[in-house]
Amino acid sequence: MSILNMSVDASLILIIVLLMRMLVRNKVPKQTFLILWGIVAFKLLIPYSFYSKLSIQPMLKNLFVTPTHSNGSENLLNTIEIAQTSSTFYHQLLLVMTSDFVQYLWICGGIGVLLFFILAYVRFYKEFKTAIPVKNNEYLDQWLKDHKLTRTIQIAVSDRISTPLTYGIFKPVILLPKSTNWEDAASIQFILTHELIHIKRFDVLWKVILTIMVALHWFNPLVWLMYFLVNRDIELSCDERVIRQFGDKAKSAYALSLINMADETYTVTSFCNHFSKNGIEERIVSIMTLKKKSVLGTAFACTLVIGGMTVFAATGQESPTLKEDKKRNAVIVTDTSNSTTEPRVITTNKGKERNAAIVTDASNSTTEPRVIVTNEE
Amino acid sequence: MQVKLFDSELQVMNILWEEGDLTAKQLTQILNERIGWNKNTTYTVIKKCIKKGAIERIEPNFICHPIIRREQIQEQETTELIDKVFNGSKSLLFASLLDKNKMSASEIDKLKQIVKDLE
Repeated sequence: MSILNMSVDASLILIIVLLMRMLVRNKVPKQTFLILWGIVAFKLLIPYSFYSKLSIQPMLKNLFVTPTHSNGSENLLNTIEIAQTSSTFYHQLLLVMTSDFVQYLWICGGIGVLLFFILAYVRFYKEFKTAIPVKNNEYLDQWLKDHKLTRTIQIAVSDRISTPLTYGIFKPVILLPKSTNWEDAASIQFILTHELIHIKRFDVLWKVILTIMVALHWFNPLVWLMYFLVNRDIELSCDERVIRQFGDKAKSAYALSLINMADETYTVTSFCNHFSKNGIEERIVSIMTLKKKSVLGTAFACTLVIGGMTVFAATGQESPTLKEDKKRNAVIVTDTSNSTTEPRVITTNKGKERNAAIVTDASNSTTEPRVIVTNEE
Repeated sequence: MQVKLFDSELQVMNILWEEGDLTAKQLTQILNERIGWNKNTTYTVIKKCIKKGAIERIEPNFICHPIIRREQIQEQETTELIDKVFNGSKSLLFASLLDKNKMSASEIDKLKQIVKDLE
């Protein structure tokens, strides 16, 4: 099942990004991690076989890693995996994973997760729609005039939300809680700027992609962790932009206005108390430790991104050693007259010494390598 | 009868109190003009009101008849304000769905201290 392969592949780079985030979260521009998460998401969502055919992939490979010959299509390698009779746990697991039952389970789980998100969204969306649009508020009208986008932004007030939020991709609406202190112009300006950045960056769309990712990889706890962290990092990088806009001096005021908002309200963002409380603390620290853009910071960020690309390029195909391993463990025969894409597997490990070879037919010009077997006993 | 009406529901009720019984269709027209709600949104709110027992639906033509009087709500809002001042009770959409998670005073202080320390 290739989704499992994808999940395992991406988990490696995911863990690396996770560690980097722990170590240098407040030392680089917050955008950096959004890019790194983007790389992980790409790996999780786009099957390797899909983009390996594009020229970008080999190009990246040549740039960052010593070239290894990558023959043998995904399909073939998968078949080899299935053909394993090796007793290692991983291979046993793979065998189980390819069974119909597990695939069925995977699909059901994915649909379940997706349904949960969709139902929650519909419910909230209906509720948000009943908010009351603000009319004839001089300050807000002026602000909207000053910040025109191609999409019209609407501002509405609701007594059913506790923190400001934005919904809608094409007709974005900024929802403000009724409890907003309208006297506090500075805070309102912070809020609006923050939400405007979300709108400009199409963050709602990104969250949709994230949701699809979690639905596909629902069995992978790391992907769930990533889901929560990306949601946080979206906020953090949004905060960063606000500060860049208002200047370093605004840091304390901005942080305090966030705390005051949290003070008046319940936290909405997560399913788990500990998580969200940590979340706001992380946010406050992140804002207060924001540094001015520096050459060093940017250079470091670039290094991280390039590193991420390298790992991206290096994983996803079988490493040479693994390939060797597999060659020793399986014997594959494809009938030369057989034109189907499925290679047939005839025998596996004979004797104590597992010696088999895969020979690709050199004259074969199709993408599907044909395999001839020599079984040396 | 204790009914808690949210702002959106009060918008509908206000019109019924001013104009008397109206059909749902008329309500959608008025609300569209006044605050720009679309048809679906108004129906969502009307249904909520019916469910809460604030509006009675009379057929034919989906006539909406207000059951709750304006005075009732006003009186209720006053008591609620008092409640809020003394207990800080809140009824939020999310609070019912997700865990109530109000930050305590000490947590707020801690966060403010962080800001001060990092300043």
